[in-house]
Parts: sequence; structure tokens; C-alpha cells
Amino acid sequence: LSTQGWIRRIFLFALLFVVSVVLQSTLFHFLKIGGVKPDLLLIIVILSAVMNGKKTGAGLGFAYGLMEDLIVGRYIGLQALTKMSTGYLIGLLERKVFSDNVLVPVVVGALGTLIHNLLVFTTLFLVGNFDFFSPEYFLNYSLASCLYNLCVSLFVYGPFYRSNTQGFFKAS
Amino acid sequence: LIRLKKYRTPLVFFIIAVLLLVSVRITGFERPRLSQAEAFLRTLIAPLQSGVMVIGQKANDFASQVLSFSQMKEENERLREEVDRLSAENNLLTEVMQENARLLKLLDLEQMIGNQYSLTAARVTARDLENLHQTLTINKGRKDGIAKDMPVINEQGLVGRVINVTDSTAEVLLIMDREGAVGALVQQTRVPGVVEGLGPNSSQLQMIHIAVDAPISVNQVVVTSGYGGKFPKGLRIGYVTEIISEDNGLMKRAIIQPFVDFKRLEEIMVVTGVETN
Repeated sequence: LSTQGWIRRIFLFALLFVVSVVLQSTLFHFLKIGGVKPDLLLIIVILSAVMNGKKTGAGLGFAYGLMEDLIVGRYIGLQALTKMSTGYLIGLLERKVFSDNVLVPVVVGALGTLIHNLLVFTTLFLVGNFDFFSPEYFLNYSLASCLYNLCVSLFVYGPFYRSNTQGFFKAS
Repeated sequence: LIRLKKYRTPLVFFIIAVLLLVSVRITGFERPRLSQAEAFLRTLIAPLQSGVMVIGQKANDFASQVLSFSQMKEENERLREEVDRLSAENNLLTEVMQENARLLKLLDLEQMIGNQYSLTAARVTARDLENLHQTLTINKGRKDGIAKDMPVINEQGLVGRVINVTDSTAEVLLIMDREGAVGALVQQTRVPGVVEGLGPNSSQLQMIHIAVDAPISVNQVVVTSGYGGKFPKGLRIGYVTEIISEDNGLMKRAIIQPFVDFKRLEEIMVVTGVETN
């Protein structure tokens, strides 16, 4: 990738970050289902990972996660660690799936969310916060968030895929 | 050296993971103040959030108006009857009010205002970013005299307390949050307890640590107790809707319906001080 290409990608990912954060903390409040709203940042990380591989997945996951942590201001590093790991793990699927199949966003959206939830709950447990450690709560939370993220991922996958192969995010 | 290179990626990951875990542990929930980087990011996105939030509130109002049209017709009917009844009652009350006003003048004025709070009004500009916590962001901050731990109320009752402040914004932890527990007591019978959120899927609160024989019943009002010093005494929280005995037979808990409509918070008041005589 040329220097110019890099700058363009970083700028666009930063723009996507700001838009996602603003939407998530304002409009999405009114779209909560079962107490859960979609995690746009996670969806972007997952989709980038499955299309561009584990390095992009982990790098973007780390950057997005850390910025999100800094804005939330609690448990700084939680999202950085979990989104980085999720991006890496989903990135391992890069060569194993056909990116133009409609099942990709469905499966990867749900799987990535589940992995992310597991990592979040485990991390919170590791650092001694047992508030969220109840299997019932985890199942309810995971079911709602997986379904919701899956739907959103289905909607944004098309435009995201096109821009990745021929538009702004094109690798070459 | 060759072997070292093979393990480079896992090693880097391991080091980053450990550093992040340490950071998560240190920054777990409340800290005395935000770092420069956090304050900068918040100040940067606050105006954007503020604008989009207004659009969201307007759209939400419109949508609920459309959805509730048939209900509104029915309600209109009912309200008309109520207006008739209330007009009659209002007439009577006007008489009583005038009498009351005359009587109040006889009371010591000092006593009337002695017990009030100094309040700062603010607008809600954003809600929580993720699902684990229930917070909101307001458009007043340190330069408006807002400080950490100040209670937040509206005309309906207790909303929460300030947990983070930047120069021009503040973050409010709602009492609905699991970490936003409040010392409370039943207004009528003075039974103490702790009020906390029921979890992210519920719009109700629960009051725990109530002795099994304590006098508490449905519809009684729950107010802050002032224990712990974070909230002044006597702020309205909600009313009891259900009482549940705990399995151990020693305690019971009460489900509380909050007075505040947490889904539709638009303007709130920060209690910046309690005036004492």
C-alpha cells in the first residue's frame, strides 16, 4: 500500500470512528432492544478483519478499542484488549471464506460478537469485577447482542464489501 | 535468535495484554479525575453528540406520537371527563389555596426557604456509549460549578450523581446502574435499605437489605436517607410496587418504581449545594 493509500485509509477509519461513537451514544439509545444496542465499532473491526486478515483486525481492534476506552473512561484497556483479540481471531478466517457470500456477515457478525462478549466477561472477571459474572445474565446479554449485531452487520456488509474491493478502502 | 523471532508475535501480544489488564484493573470504575487525553476526546465529540441527540429526541417523540394515535382517541375521551371533574375540584381548591396563602404568611419565612438546595439546570446531550453502564452526559461542567459526586435530580425525583467532569461537560451515573446504589429509607415508616438497579433490561429498581419484619408495604414512597454522605436526605426516589422475601428467611427486598422517567430525560438539575441554616 502506498503512503497516500495509508493516509486515506487512516483518515476514513477515523471518520468512521467518530460517526459510530456519536451515533452509538445518541440515536441508538432510542433503538435499544432487550436493553442492548448494536456495537458499531465491533462490527467494523469484525468485517475489516474477515476481509483483510488478522493483522488489520488486531490493529484496528486495538486502535478503536483504546479510543473507545478513553471516551468511556472506565476500565481503560478493556475494549482495546477484547476488540484486538476478536479482530485477530476473526482475521484467521480471512482465507477460509468467500467474502461475497451473504452468509459471511451473518455468521461472522454473530460469532465475533459472541467471542467479544466472552472476552469482555472473562477480562472483567480477571480484574476482579464479579458484578457481571452470572451465566443467566451472560446468556441473555449474548443472545440479544449477537442477534442485534448480526442484523446490523448484514446491512452494512454490502457497502463495506464494495468499498473494500473497488472503493475508498481498496487495498491496492 | 532465530527461535526468538518465531515467538515474536505471541510475545508482543502477551506484553500488550498484560499491560492492558493492569490498566483495566487500575482504572476500574471511579477515579478522582479524568486524564488529559480523555477530557480532550470528550470535549471533541460533545458538540456532535449534542446536535444528533436533539434529532434523536425529536424523531422519537414523532414516532411515539404516530404509534399512539388510537390510544390518544380513547385517552382524549377519558381526559374530557376528567377535565370536567377537575374543573369543579379546581374551583374548590382555589378557595383552599387562598386560605393557605394567608396562613403561610403567618409562618416564619426563614423556615420556608431554609431547607432548599441550590440548583444548576443542564441539558442531556448524550447517553451511555456501551451496554454495561447507564450514564448520561450533560452540557454543564467544571466552569459552571459542577463537581464530582453532586446529586442530580429533576422535577420527578432523584436521577443519579455526577461521576466525571470536564470543563464543559459532566457524566451522570443513573441510579438505574448497578454501581449507582443509593442509601434510602421508606418515607412513612423510616425503614432503611439500599436502592439499586435491577440490571440493564429492567426499568425498575430494588431496595435490598430490609429486615423481614420491617414495616413496609406497597405504594409507600422511598426517599434518600443521607447515609454515606453522597446524597442529601429526603430526595424522592420511587414507590414500592412489590415485596419479595429472600430465600434465607431473614431479609426481604422491595421492587421500586422510580418517579423519574429514565427513558426520556431531557433536562435535569444538578444540586450544587445544600443550604443550611
